[in-house]
Amino acid sequence: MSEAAVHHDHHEAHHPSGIMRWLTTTNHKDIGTMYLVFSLVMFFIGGAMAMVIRLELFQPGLQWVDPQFFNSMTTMHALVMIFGAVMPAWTGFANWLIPMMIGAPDMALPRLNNWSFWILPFAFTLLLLTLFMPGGAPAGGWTMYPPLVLQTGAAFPFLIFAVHFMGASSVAGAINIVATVFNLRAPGMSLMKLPLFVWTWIITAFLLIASIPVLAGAVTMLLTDKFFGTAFFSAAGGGDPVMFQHIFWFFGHPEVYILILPAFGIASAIIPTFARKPLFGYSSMVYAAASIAFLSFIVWAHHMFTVGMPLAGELFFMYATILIAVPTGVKVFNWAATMWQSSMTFETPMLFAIAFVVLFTIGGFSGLMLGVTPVDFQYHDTYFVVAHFHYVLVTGAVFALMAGAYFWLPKWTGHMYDEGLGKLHFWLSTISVNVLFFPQHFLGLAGMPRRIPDYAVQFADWNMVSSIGGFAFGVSQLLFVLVIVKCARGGVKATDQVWEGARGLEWTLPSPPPYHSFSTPPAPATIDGGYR
Amino acid sequence: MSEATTLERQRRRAKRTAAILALVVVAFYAFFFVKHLL
Repeated sequence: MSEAAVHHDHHEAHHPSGIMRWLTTTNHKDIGTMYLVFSLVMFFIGGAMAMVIRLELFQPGLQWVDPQFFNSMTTMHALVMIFGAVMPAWTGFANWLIPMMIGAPDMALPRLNNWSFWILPFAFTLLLLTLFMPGGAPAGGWTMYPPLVLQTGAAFPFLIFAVHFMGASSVAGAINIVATVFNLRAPGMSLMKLPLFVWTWIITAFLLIASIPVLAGAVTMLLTDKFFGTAFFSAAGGGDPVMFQHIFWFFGHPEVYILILPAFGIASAIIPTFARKPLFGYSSMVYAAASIAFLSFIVWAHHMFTVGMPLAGELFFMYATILIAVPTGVKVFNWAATMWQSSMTFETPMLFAIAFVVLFTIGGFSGLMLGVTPVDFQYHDTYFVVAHFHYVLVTGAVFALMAGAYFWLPKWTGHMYDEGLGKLHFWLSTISVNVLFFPQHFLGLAGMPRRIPDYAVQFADWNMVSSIGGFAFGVSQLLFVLVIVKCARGGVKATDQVWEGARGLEWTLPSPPPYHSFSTPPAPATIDGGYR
Repeated sequence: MSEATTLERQRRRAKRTAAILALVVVAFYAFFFVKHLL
């Protein structure tokens, strides 16, 4: 063990090549790249599952898949997209950017960093293997509510261990980020000078540290209920199935902000750059993100208003939920104020960032509607909820990921991406995603339930429209891959600053940056004056 | 004090931060599990 440690200490002196470079790397850029590639692969696997769902729902009746497999698709699509695509993508961004943004040579715990990443392929191999198991993949929904989830076949322990591994990976990544930002900042980089992407990630990391153990506890209890004779969630044994829902959503609501807070950081980096103005209300942005994070821990029961709880509880969770609109509104108004009377240009990152602000806000408004207890009784478990969270997560989190990818791709690869293809990707995505998800509001308000493979004929028209939008959105994403591959392979050489209005330490480094970013800390003079 | 020493010191502090956070995670997990076991 000690010999291995000594050997590892010398490891940075030479870089292995080929597959060993990627297996053994402790470099934050290599690990960031692996996270981003992994998440892109998962994005397409989860996307293929979404295509199966939209294909089956293209027309009423059972056409393509049996209902059990359909339910597996909705369950696995959610698990893959949340834990496999969006969360690792944010960790990839964090790995690439945080050391460069704070003037550090690398992450604080590089070997833990390597481990955090390499847990993920094992976790998702376990999860995806369940598709080929007796009884099929998990089909009880990503929320894993008992007693339904306990009916899962051979896949059940694989699901539980996959969730544990994903959680371990996320927690290790979060600890690494907190340790890095709190200890490895360059001299002069005070907390209130941090770029907002770093701030939002710090808050996200604390959300992960506080919420993932709760999920781990909940799924461990499921495991012992199934195999070791406990009755945590079994009414027959004196347990309470509704207790699972409370525990799950105590994790689940902070999880929503884990997925979206880094997106706020990305928008706060891109909008000032292309508006050529400092971000409006920097400190209010920090406090708003922290307030959203705090509130995310006291609103969980709005996911389960219909389960039955005391009136005082329903009122509390309704008011607390609606309160989140205040700090979120601060953010949206600050982005608008940053753009107000500015000299904007509309390159692809800015287009995605503006679409993010507008479309995420639509998702926010439908979230407000769902937060009002009496009307939630009508919306609950309908397609209105599906429309809401896809506006927040696709046109919110995924659009911000794309904005960020276009924004930093020239810095990462050293080449400019194809702006024409980028804009084509933007317009096709933005039009098709609205054709895909907006009609789902109508379907939900008309009463179409979620998670069903067949539906009444009155819902046929909007389902067909939604499916056409879905196929178009899916195909459009192939353009994204084309842009990335073209950019990685070559193109116009990118300058160090890349964008005229770009401010911040990462833009002072060459494009692409050297293997070790800041072996010596940057001069304090270069830290001030950023758009943050 | 040289920069390398500063970095070493930063890394030591970072390991301490990480250890404290890891303890928080384990304690939180145990709390939730044990709380419902009793």
